Amino acid sequence: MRSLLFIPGNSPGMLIKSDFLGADMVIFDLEDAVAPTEKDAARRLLYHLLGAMPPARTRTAVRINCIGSPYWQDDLRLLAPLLAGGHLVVPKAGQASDIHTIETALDKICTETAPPRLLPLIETAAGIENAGSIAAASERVDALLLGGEDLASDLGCHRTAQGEELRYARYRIVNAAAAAGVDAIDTPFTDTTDEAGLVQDAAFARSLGFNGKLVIHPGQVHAVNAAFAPSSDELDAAREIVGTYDAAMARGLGAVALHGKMIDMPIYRRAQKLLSEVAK
Amino acid sequence: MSKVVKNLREAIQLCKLEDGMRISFHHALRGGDLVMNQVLAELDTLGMRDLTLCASAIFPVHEPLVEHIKSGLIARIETDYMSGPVAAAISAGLLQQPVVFQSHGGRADRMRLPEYQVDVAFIAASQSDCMGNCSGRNGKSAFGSMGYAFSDAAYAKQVVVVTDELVEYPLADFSIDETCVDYVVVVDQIGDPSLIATGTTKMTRDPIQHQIARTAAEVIEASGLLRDGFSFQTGAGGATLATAQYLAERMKKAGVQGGCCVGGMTGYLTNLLEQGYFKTLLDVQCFDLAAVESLRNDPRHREITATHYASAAAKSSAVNQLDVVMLGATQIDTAFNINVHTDSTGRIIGGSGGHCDAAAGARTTIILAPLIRHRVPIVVDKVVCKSTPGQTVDIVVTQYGIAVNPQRQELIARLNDAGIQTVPIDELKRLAVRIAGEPDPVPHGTQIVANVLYRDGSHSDQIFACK
Amino acid sequence: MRERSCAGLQKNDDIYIELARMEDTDEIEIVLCSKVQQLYGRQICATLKEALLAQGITGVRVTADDRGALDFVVRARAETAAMRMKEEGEKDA
Repeated sequence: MRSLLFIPGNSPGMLIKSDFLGADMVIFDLEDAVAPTEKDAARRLLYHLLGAMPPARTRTAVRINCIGSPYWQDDLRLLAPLLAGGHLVVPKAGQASDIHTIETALDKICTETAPPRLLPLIETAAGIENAGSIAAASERVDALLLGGEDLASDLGCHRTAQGEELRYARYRIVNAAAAAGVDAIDTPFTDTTDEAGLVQDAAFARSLGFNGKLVIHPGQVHAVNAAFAPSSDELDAAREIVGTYDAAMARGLGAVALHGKMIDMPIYRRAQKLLSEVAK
Repeated sequence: MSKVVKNLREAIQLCKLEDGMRISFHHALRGGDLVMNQVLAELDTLGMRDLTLCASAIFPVHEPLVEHIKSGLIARIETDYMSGPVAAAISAGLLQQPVVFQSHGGRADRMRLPEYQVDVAFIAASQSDCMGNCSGRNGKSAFGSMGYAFSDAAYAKQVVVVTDELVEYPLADFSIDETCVDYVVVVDQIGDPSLIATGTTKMTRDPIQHQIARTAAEVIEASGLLRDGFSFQTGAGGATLATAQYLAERMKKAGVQGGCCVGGMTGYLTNLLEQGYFKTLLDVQCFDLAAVESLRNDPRHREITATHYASAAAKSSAVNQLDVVMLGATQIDTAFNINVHTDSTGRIIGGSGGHCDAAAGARTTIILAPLIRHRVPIVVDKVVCKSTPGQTVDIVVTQYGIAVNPQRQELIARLNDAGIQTVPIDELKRLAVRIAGEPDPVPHGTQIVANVLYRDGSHSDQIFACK
Repeated sequence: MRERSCAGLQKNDDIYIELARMEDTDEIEIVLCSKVQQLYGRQICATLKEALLAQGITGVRVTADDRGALDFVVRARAETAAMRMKEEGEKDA
């Protein structure tokens, strides 16, 4: 997943467009994008959207309200049964027990359908420190998402375009996600007018090991997709690695070298993963 | 000698304009035009009746026309496009005689025929000299290309140039020359050029329109049209203008330089010219002030006449050189017929302009439209009004899928080879109904309020009064 | 039960719905203003009625301003307005 686009949960106009914006995943937002007085309306709207015309081309997620709010259980009750094969973004995930809380609630609700997979959004200092255990809290976790805005305010610092203040959090998320075998998704770039800044920010995130990026405006989707898409050189190299390795294995060889460098298992797996992502 | 007369009234009187005659106007000032209103008010004061108004387009600014229809000053209208209060009044059945809708090319051709000859053409010009050498390129009310006015000047029995900037003889940089001008009238203001870019000529911010535009650019490349020297036209509204931008990205990547852009010009297109994406612009009208400036300054940006642009009768015209044209639609039917005259309930909201001309001329005609617009299905079984015939339409791009006219099997194969899926247009229609619901049939009145002519003057369709 | 409730926004692709309790009747009276009146007015009214009845709401005047909402949106907004009307009543009791 390269681009995960937030769509305000109470805006019919945006909801019906969301499947056509080129994002790999849309996240229908019940939390920050919806005023407290409209939570019921947005929930109802999403309920009927997912029932009547669920996205056909884009993976679907819902960001519920955070644990401890008066809304999250209603969010789950109404929408989780419609999210089989979809994802739930768990905001302000601070510790493994948050994931367990959601899991337990889901198991009670989703008795006849597969429960949604989980995407913890790490946006507090505690969440960063516990990123490893959050990622490993459940096999349902598919990725860790970094939320830089809330994190900065938790840290008492300002967000900047360069993102120096998020360096530690980014390293930490990538490392925790890799350790748990899940994807790492970078924080949104919030200046929707600064295309060059977005491209730079996304390229930097990718260089750290992030697999994709949260997106808050449709106009950012294509730049993010491009930033996280493997280049044709990378794809060629991956194909060569997989081909050479498979051929060597078929001939019963133990050690495989390509252009004078050993191909070991991690290199092979990484190449395979790259190719399988593109195939998707 | 000078052709300058005191005012509009004197010009009208000198022309011996009488009841029942045909008068004409061009629409380069679009939503900012003040000339038509001034002339009609003067004619009304003089007590004229039963005139035929041959206006290349009618905009919301021309609302006073509604009163002139009621008073009997204007008894017949021939035009290429109509929006706003006048269109609403026509749809309500205000005018007894059906409006005659022509295309831009069709209008220019028709004016040459003796039975349709205009008696007096009133031509707005932002600069004129005392003998009527005039243009739209300079002056306080500069509007750019005079494209549609050339046929009026050439074929009307008498020609009155209306300007708000009289310059010393000769205006060297003229568009229309003195040989066909009878009188020159100086008025305070011919219009407000800042209102040229209104409504449909602005770049869309709708992400769906941008997505459709991206897809269209991809389709153009996959169709093999992106070659050095290729020529294209975009409509002004919705996704079509945005396509130019995505096309440019692909041209850059592919190292292709286009030949020319044809039709109405905007700053987006003049930028492409300046950046070397295209070598020439053939400009029949300026859609914004950036285009006006470019026309004034860049010799590669040429003004062309409506005849040169889109005529079916001329020995050749620019639309016939088009490799690809991108156009909009208010409705598309499963026979690929396009409606740009009315909305889904049959209410007049536009007109052909150059739509059917460009579709007929271009090698590949691509229609860009959302499948559904605020619940209203755009792809339908049968269009309310056939503005452009399906035989001249090749590809329909919506956010839900791309449909190719089955006449163009080789195009379908080409797109499929490039990995672009196409769907039968009936599939798009069914999908639209599945999402929006089957709309109830809309009953119309019995009065025919407009006859739509095809570019060759033949009957294409009729529009009924709305209930 | 509250006397009034509303849901939705006066924006494109949405429908704004107001419910007002009426005395001495079980009818659902609908005053619809829609951008797509001729094409979908009948269907919008049918959906409004059906959704309200399913929520056990009768004896109301519905005032709706539709800007081209799809059927699922009409349904969602009607249900929200209905639940808001009922919810307050429960709290009051």
